[in-house]
Order: sequence, then C-alpha cells, then structure tokens
Amino acid sequence: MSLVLHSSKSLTNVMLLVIIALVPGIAAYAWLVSPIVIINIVFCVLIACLTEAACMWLRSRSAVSALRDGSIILAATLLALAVPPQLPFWQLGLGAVAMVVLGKQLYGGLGQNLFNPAMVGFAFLMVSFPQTMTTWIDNMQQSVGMAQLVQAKWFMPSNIQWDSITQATPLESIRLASQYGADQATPLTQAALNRQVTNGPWPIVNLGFLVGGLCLLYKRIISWHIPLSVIFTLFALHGILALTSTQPQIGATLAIASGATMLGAFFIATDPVTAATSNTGRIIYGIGIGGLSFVIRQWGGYPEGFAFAVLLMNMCAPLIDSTVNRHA
Amino acid sequence: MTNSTSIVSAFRGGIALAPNKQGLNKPIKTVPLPSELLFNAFEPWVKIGDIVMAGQRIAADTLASTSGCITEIQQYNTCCTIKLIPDGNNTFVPAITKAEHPMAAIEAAELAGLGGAGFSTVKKLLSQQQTQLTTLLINAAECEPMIACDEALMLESSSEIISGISTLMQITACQQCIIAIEDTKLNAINAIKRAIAVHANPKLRLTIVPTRYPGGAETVLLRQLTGANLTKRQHPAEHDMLCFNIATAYSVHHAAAHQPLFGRVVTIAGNAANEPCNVRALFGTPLSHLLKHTNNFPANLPDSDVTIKLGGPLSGQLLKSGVADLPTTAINSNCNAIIIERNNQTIVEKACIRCGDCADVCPESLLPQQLLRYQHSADKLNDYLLPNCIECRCCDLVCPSAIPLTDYFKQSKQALYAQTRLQVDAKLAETRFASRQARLARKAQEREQALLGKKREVATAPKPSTTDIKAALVRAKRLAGNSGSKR
Repeated sequence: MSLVLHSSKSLTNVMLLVIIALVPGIAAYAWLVSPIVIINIVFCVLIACLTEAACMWLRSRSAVSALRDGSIILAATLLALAVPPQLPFWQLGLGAVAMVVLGKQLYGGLGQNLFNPAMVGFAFLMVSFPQTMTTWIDNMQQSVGMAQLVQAKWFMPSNIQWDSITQATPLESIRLASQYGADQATPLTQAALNRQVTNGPWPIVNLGFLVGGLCLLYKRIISWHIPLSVIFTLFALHGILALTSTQPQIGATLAIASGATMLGAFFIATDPVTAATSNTGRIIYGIGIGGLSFVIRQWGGYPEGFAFAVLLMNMCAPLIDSTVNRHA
Repeated sequence: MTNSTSIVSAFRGGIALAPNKQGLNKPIKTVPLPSELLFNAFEPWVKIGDIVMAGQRIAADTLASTSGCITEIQQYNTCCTIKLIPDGNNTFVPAITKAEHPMAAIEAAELAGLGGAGFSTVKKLLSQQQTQLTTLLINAAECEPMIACDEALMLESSSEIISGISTLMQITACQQCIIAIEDTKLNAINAIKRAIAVHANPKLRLTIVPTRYPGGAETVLLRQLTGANLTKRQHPAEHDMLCFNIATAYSVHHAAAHQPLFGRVVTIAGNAANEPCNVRALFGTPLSHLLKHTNNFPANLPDSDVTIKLGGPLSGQLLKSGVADLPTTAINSNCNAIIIERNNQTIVEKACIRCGDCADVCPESLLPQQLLRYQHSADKLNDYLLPNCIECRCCDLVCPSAIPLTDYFKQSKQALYAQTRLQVDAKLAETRFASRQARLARKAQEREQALLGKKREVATAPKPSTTDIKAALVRAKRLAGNSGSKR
C-alpha cells in the first residue's frame, strides 16, 4: 500500500465512463434516426478540442492537461446529440466554439463554469438558428442517401428539397396542437398523436440513454437524486395535464419517452459542476428542471425546453445550495 | 463467559480500507536507552546543568521521561528544545513513589492520553469529578491502516490493560465499561476476552465495531455506539461518557503501580520500512534512534525519494525535510506511528468538479466541496460546519481530481481560529476601553464632587474680618513696591 492513498476514480476515468455510457443511446440514434449523428459527434469533438486547445494556449495553460481530462469531449458529444442531425456543419461548429468559449473557458475552465457548457452551445444555436434547430429529419434513410446528406450539410440547406423530407418533431406537433387546438388546419386526434410518438424512433433512443444512465448509477458516477426527480416531475406534470385537459395530450409515459428526456435527465442535468451539490439540493434542482422543461414544452416558444430549463436551474443552483441544509 | 459481547453496524460515511497491519507477527521490540532525549516546549523551567528525575517538570506541560542531566536548551522564537542526557538509573520523583492512591500517582505522572489528540488523562479525569458518568469507553478500534501499536499491546499485555481499565473505573465510578474493537482484530478480541474472563469484572463489555475508517475517531465511535450525534466541539461527557484510548489504560496500570512508563508503543511501517514492527519508545526519543535500532533507517534510499510521516498514513504529519528531520524529531504522547514510504508517483491536483463523492464518505456529514469553494469566507465556513471536520482525509482519498482537501481545511481552520482570536482580542480591548472610559468618567465626577464640596466649604466658611483684609492689602503693596524698586 502506498502512502499516497487515493481514489482509483480519476477525473479522466469518470469522463470516459460517461462517454461509454452514452454508447447504447448513440447506437440507437444512429441506427434508427440517422448514422450521420456519428459524423456530427466526431466533427463537434474535433472543433471543441481545437477551440479548447486554442483557449488554453491564449490563457498560457497546458492544453494537453485540459484535453486529457476528457470533459470537453463529453460536452461536445452531448451537444452533437442534442442538435438535429441535419444541422449544417458550420452551424454545429459555431455551436461547439460557443460551448467551449462562452460555456467554459470564459469562466476559467473546468470546474469554474456556472452553466452547463453543452446547453450553452445548444441555447446559442437555438436562438441563432431557430429554423434549422427546430427542423428534424424523420426517418432519413428512406428519403435521402447518406452521401447526399453529408454533402448537403456542408452548405446552407438549399440544394435539397428539405421540405419534402422533414417534418416537425412529435413534440412540436403536440405543442402546436395543444396551443392552437382545433383552430389548426388539420386537427390532431389523440390516437394520431399517440401513433406519431410511439411509431417514431425516439422511445427506443430514449431507452438506449436510459440503459446508459442506469449503468452510471450502478457505477456510482452519478447519484439517483437528479435523474429521478427530473423524470418523476415530467411524468407527474404530463400525467396531470393528460388527465385534466380536453385537448389531445401526450401521456405521462410517452412524455418521458420522447424528446431528449433520458439524455437530459441522466447525462445533462447531472453535470456536477453546475448542479446543486447536497442531496436535498439535487432533488430540488431536478424538480426545477422537470417543471421548467414541462412549462416550456407546453406553453413556451420552443418545442424542447430542456436546455433552457437546465440553464435556468444552473442559475438557481448556488441559491439552492445556500438555502438547503449545509451538510449531507 | 461472563461478559457480553455486542456488535454494532456500520456508520454513515467512511471507507473500508485494507488494515495492512504489518509488524504484528513479532513481539513488541525494545531499543537501548537513547544517548539523548529531546523535548519541545514553550518555555524551559530548568537550566543547563540541572539534574532532573523522571517525572520532574522541565517545562510548563512537559515532564522528564527519565532521570538525567539537562545539557542543552535551544531557544527559538516561541519555543525551545530541551536536551536531556539520561543517567540510566530512571529515578522517579518522590511524588510518584509515595503517591497514596492511584489517582495521586496518575496526577504525579501527569499521564497523557495516548490517542491521537494527546489530551491529558489527568485533566480528563479531574474535569469529570463533579459529574456522575455512567459509561467508560475504551477505544481499541485503531481504524487507521498500518498503525498496529494498540493491537500489539492488546496481544501482549491484555491483563495489564484490563487492570488499568479497572483502575480507571474505580476513579470515575462508572457503572459499565465498553471496550470497542474492530471486527478484523480477531486475536486482540480473543486476548481481551480471556483477560476479562480472568479478571471476572461483570461491568466490562466488549463491543465489536466494523472495520471501517475512521471508525475509531472519537466522534464516529460514539455515534456508532450510542447513536448520539456528537460533534467534535462537544465533550463525550454530555452523553455521560468518558473515552480513553486502550494504550492509556495500559499506562494507567503502570502509573497506578508507581512505575509510570513515560513512553508508548510506536508502530514503524510503510513500504520503505525494512522491518515493520512495533517498538517501545520513551517520550523524547529521537526518531533516528528508533529507526536505527529497529533496522528501519532509510539509509540506502536517496533522501528525495523518502517521505516520512509521524502518525498514521492518513492522519499523520509529514516531516518537511524528510530524513534530515529524523535526528531532531522526538516521540511524544500522540505519536503512534512512523510511516516510511517511497514516493513513486506524483499526483497532479485538478479542478473540483463538485461530484460530491467527498460528501458521501464524510463521516461528519459535511460537504467538503462547499468547504473548498468557500475556503476564503469565514462566515460560510462556519455555516458549513468546518470546525466539525475531524481531518480523517476520507475526502482526499476519494477525490477524482486528487485535491488534498484536508490540507486546505487545516489552513482554513487556522485562519478561522486566528480570526476568532482577533475577535476575542477585539472584544477584550472593547471591554477594557469601556471600563477605562467609565473609570475616567467616575474620576472626573469625583473630582467635580470634590470641587463642589470645596466651593461649598469656602462659601460656608466664616468671612475674614475687614482689619485682616486691610493688613493683607498693606502687605501686598509693600511686596509690590519692593519688586518694583528692584526692577
């Protein structure tokens, strides 16, 4: 036994394990939605690493040590998973740069940032390019070939008839349906809505991320407090809404199986740097994220409110920490 | 068997560490009497050339551990090192040999506690004389890896230990005594059980605690045994308990027999120790003497490769200059181990990612990640209960960023302590100032009163007659005329 006893769990190991835990979800995503997500991840990681290295060089710090801890690779992977797969490369690249610079390095690098870097990048893209960020390709392989798609991604989406192959995500349809109700040209029935949600690839993709998240729980990389409170809050609020509303509503079960719920609950909301730190604090933080993302989904201007919910709760985390009990 | 044995379950936090007790297969070693003993103190009470006896006071809280001659007193800014050359006779001061009852003998020997804190046993016993305690707790958990001095003592001298415990129970008049031992120390448990059976004292109970670090820390042990949530700032007596280390009980036995040890058993271990062992050492023995005579002196390693810790691998104090410090550092009452290690890896501290692993293992349920974040804010540190930290280093062990949290906390504690002292001083100065102001005001009032009295006296005094006034005027004129002619 060495005098310098220390944990076998190093920072790099933690980040690596989280990335490995993402694999089932990524595989489902690539298989069922579009394999282009893998190209997106590689591209986003590359740009993020280059930006990180450049920032560290500007700050006269060791770029190697910053890249070695793997935190930026993880953040870039999460960003690439959160954006629509057909997002043009230049926009994705800009998002990655914003993530590293605005989300992490401006605060002083790892451990210093107030906001979840991946969600800063996502929010940056969402407010800058709302058109491309809210358009999702449904069942891509049938419509357009991989090579054609990659080629198209280098430019502004003009040389492909995007309209013919894209459609709003289920969540977007639901939001529109519940906001405008029967006034819409094609009123959505509950049965059609359910079909739309369950037939799509998203429940399986969410299942993939759930499996990865449970692995993280098992390996004690994350604690149950945040994911459970996020999922439970979403489940409960959507359930109450479905029971009380006359409009067609996404049910409680479908709500947690659609959108980015599992990815968000297990991988994004659990970022320890920006979350509340005591166990009670974590539960409050998770409930906040679940509640806010429900509100934004239901009544806000964006189809998926998870990123904004996370950013808003990031702001509240220090307050939560200083109001709940001061010991574990 | 007459005694009852109970088992308690694991406490919150802590880490299951491999015990790694190395030198238990050999009996406790003894080394020759050192040629010189060193004592660190604030102010010497002796002069160079004084002949002292064992148990004689040589500084405010230091007794000579054997008889001999003071040959050197090195003065530093706030402290001094007293060098004593033993004469080999070990003559005790009369107070020890003539003590009439055990408590007197213990008081004369100024028995120090042999646990980690080194708190005076005498003070502990005296402070409890007014209150009636129910339970005497003997801490034999020895939870820290590598340290085996208490276990070695239990294996060899269980009978003396039980006798010492009986003496302690007589002094404190406790109704029961709990001896807490970790469940992996099977031989020690058996030895103590046998000794209890021989002494046939029905008040003694053995409690088996899980092998989990830091289960032997006083606060954690009390929490395990009583469920009472005790913090470092409270005294066990608040729960009608008094806690002693098992090695202290052994010392009590010897002191009560008019043969105080003025020494303790020290573990020598670590991956650079040639022959890990337990050794009896007189207080004041230089570490180099102990290591040389147990064949553990790290001579064949380059100095920069060796780290030496006084105390356990976790809670111990690092010797700053390594091997160079060995001849000038001496054994004292709370020094239970010397850990000699080869440093083979350098660990780079990274940024805190607030993962909270530290909070999960903290036996005191603190939030180390918050204590680190707020290390410069005294108010926040008090809010987050930094003073409760027992410096067990569990948080350091699990930190994925390899942050030496406890080192930061020690610094913060010192800063907090300095600040509290400043506040106390300021308060003192304030009361002093207020009382001075009051005193001045009172004096001024008294003066005024006196003046008023005088005035009244003058006013009420009989008026001088007119002839007297005229005579005085004539006298004054004449005087004035004289001085005028001179000019």
